[in-house]
Amino acid sequence: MTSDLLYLFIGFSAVWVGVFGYLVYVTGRVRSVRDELHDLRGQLDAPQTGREAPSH
Amino acid sequence: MRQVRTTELPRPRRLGALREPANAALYAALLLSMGLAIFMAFVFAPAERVQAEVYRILFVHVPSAWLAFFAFGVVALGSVMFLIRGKSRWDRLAHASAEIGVLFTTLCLVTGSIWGRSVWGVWWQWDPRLTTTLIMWFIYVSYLALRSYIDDPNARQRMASVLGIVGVVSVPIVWFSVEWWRSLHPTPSITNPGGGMPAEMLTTLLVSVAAFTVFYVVLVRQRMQLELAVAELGSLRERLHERNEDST
Repeated sequence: MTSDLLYLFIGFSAVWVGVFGYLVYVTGRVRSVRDELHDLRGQLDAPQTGREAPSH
Repeated sequence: MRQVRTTELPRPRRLGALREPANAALYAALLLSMGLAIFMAFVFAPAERVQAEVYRILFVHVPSAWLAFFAFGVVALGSVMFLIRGKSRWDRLAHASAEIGVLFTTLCLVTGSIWGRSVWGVWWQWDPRLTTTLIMWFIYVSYLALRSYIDDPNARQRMASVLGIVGVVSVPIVWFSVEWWRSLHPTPSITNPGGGMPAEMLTTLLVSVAAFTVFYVVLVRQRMQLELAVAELGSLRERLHERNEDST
């Protein structure tokens, strides 16, 4: 009985960690790419100084 | 010296277009449906006669399997539409759905393995359902690997689309494997007439499937936002590079 509950706990934990972990990861990536977009737009809108754009 | 303003640039659809009210409603639906599904899985659904409590893994295992099938169906649809229409958004949908399908197939295999350890006494059996599911998982991992290895965007989209269409053949093979071959895995409870599942369990299972489907929609939207943002980033980098070359 106790080991059954342990398996149940592990099964549900695996699913919740998997799906929420993936959601948090993708949301974080969207945020960081948006920040980078914001910086690049700023560089494009700014008058040119002859400085090279950072390469990624 | 030529100055290019970002407002003059043709670019992919702005990220804000996918935003706020629709997302808020979707997240509210996700929280409500997930809360209800968890409540029903642990409180509403009764214990099973033979397996007692561990059978409740069913309420995450079956939705994971359903979403794996659904996601790979969407990959095939996106791939067909991309080949017909040539619009990148269909390819983005297929890519997002493939990644999420691999996630849910992994969760299906993991929860199935845990359940199998409890009921069969082993973590893994080379059973037709398990083996065909593992093969399906490999097909879509290959799809994602293919996408990351081809640099040319057009070739990548075309080849991935072909694999996305061919790969969906694995879905019916996994589904019918329990009927075509002798298998330890039970036949589907929902579609099997006289499957014997009590009404409370069946209702809980359907609510769980619905809640996980909402989760799939949230994940696909978020993943497509990422694809859009990355496409826009590439476009802006290219233009910034062109501008810097013009000025030197």
